[in-house]
Amino acid sequence: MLKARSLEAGYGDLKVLKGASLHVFPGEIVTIIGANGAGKSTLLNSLAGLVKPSAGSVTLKGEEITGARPERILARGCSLVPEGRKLFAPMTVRENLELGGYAIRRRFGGRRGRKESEADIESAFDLFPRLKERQHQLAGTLSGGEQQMLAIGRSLMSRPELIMLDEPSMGLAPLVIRDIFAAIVSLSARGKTILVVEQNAKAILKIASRGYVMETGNLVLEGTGAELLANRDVQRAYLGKEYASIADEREGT
Amino acid sequence: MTQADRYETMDRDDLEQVQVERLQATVNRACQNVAFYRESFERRAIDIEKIKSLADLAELPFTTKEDLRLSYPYGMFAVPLKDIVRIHSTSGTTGKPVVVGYTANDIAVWASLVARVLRAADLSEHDLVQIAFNYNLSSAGLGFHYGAEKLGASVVPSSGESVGRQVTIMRDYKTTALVGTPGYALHISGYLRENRIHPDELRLRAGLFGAESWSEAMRAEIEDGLHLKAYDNYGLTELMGPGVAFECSERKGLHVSEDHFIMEVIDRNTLKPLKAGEEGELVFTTITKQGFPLIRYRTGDISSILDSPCPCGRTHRRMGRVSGRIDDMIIVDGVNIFPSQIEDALLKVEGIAPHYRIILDREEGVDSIEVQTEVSEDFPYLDELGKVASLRTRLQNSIDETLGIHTRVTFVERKTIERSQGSKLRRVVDKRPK
Repeated sequence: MLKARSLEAGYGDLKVLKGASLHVFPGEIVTIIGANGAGKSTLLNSLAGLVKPSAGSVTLKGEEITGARPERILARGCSLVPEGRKLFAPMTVRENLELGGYAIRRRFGGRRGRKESEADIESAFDLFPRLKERQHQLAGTLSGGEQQMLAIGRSLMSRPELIMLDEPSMGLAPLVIRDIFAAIVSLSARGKTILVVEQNAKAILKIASRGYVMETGNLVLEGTGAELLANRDVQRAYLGKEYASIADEREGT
Repeated sequence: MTQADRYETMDRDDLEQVQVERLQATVNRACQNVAFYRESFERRAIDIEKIKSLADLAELPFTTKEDLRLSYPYGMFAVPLKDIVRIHSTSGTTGKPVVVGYTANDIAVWASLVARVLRAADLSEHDLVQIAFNYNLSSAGLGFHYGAEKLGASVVPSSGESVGRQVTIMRDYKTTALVGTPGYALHISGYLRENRIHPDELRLRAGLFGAESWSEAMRAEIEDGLHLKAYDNYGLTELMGPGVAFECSERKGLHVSEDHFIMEVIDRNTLKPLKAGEEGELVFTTITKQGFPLIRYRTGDISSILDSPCPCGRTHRRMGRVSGRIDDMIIVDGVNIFPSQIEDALLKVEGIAPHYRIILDREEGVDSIEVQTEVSEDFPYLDELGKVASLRTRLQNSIDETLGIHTRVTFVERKTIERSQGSKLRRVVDKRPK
């Protein structure tokens, strides 16, 4: 589905990505975990076309998209749910979704376009019934969890095959995080391929097919979710386990 | 196609992507956690961020067995010792042993790779696998054990039991697959013959043999004696142990688990990578090992890359069967000889047992090569001097023709030549003054 090879990117003189390579196969849930400032968001943004990579290459479904504009990448079937949701606060839930459906309406045109887009909205409501209840409410008045649901719902409106999510659990209560991760799993069950950047390593590794560990601009470890959960370096650095508790666990088993 | 997993059949483009990612991660971690690599790269002013493709691997220096010996015991470990759950080591017969550490994850990966080896030999949970490798410091016994358990087979760790016990177990427990050295398989076959046990009294259907190089002729001999299908497999303790490469049912070269190891073959003089089909020294880079990563490790084994597609459906490229080792390559008056060539010649002559020893000496500045072997049990004329003499002549001719140099063949008493059992055998005695 997606392949990035030795991607480099940065802001001005600051090189944030130092040659990151990763792939996502169709149907996988792949996560990138790592500390703050490791370059995870920059990586997603450069895959989505929001940041221009200074070196390296990206292919989407076999087609070269390195440095392509975001709308072309979106049209090729890859959407991004940005960090901090980036909703249109003064618009209603439904209007936000309709905005996301712009490309589909244009593709089909006229009545057919409106019909297709409406079907997509229904399918988003199906995934998040809460959004249906609040469809006429202003996005700015939604709770954090509902806003995240809306951001995911909006990203679905362009009918992507690959959905990239940047820190979907950020700022949410644990119970709400559970709902969001359950939604990611059901998106996967609906045939979507998922690439998700997450700080909440433990929760995401439990649902991920594979994961990458990012450190200062490089991907230093790759493995299945279970492998990374069991990895001592990952436990120490990202799962908040102390040395003593690892030792206890070892004795206990 | 026989139950190959997703990674074994992925298309070459995807595989290359996986290899590059894992290579970059490995080089990063090795540089961060292993002083040897950090210093080696710094000394050569190598910028690891420049490793962007598989071809860039050639920019990195080799790791030699000598480097590993100098790091004795833990110098090459890339994780703290408390993250290591298993330690194996090489025998150290040719110097200080190499000590290899495995993390829990390394052990899990290893088991899944050995399970591939067994699956490729058409084994499954329905098989009873008897492991006649010694369970000790060397990686063969435990390596196969974990892999066979991972496959779900019933595993009998018969290890270093006597040949008699091995055969009893084989017969009574209804063993379907034998794992061990090819030399030991021949030993078992000899035991069956002596004790008038027909191989069909056993249920053996597959044999997985490795840890020493063996010829096609020896394979035929084993299959004939044990009535099983014999498969070659390849691995080194330094790299992991068994599970690096293995034959599928085609048995035309060994598939390298390229999602975990990058294979190169280099010219032994120029040290430049060779193209597919060209014979040279095998070099491997581990790309998923955590405890003991190795970058461009020179194995000393001689083989070539086979890159034609395999009908079995696996996309991983194959290596040719190891034709010898650089360090047991004999140079006699400037001619390179591998013991396996002598073994081939030996097996072509009827009436000769497949056990041999090579004695090198120098008389008046000229190298001499003596091949000691035994007359087979099947040869009924041992007391007729004329028949034995003509047997010797036929053998002599066969060997001389194969090697292209003159050798002296001598017969020794039956069963005086050491049989291999669960460990490597040194077949060459070099008496030449250094």
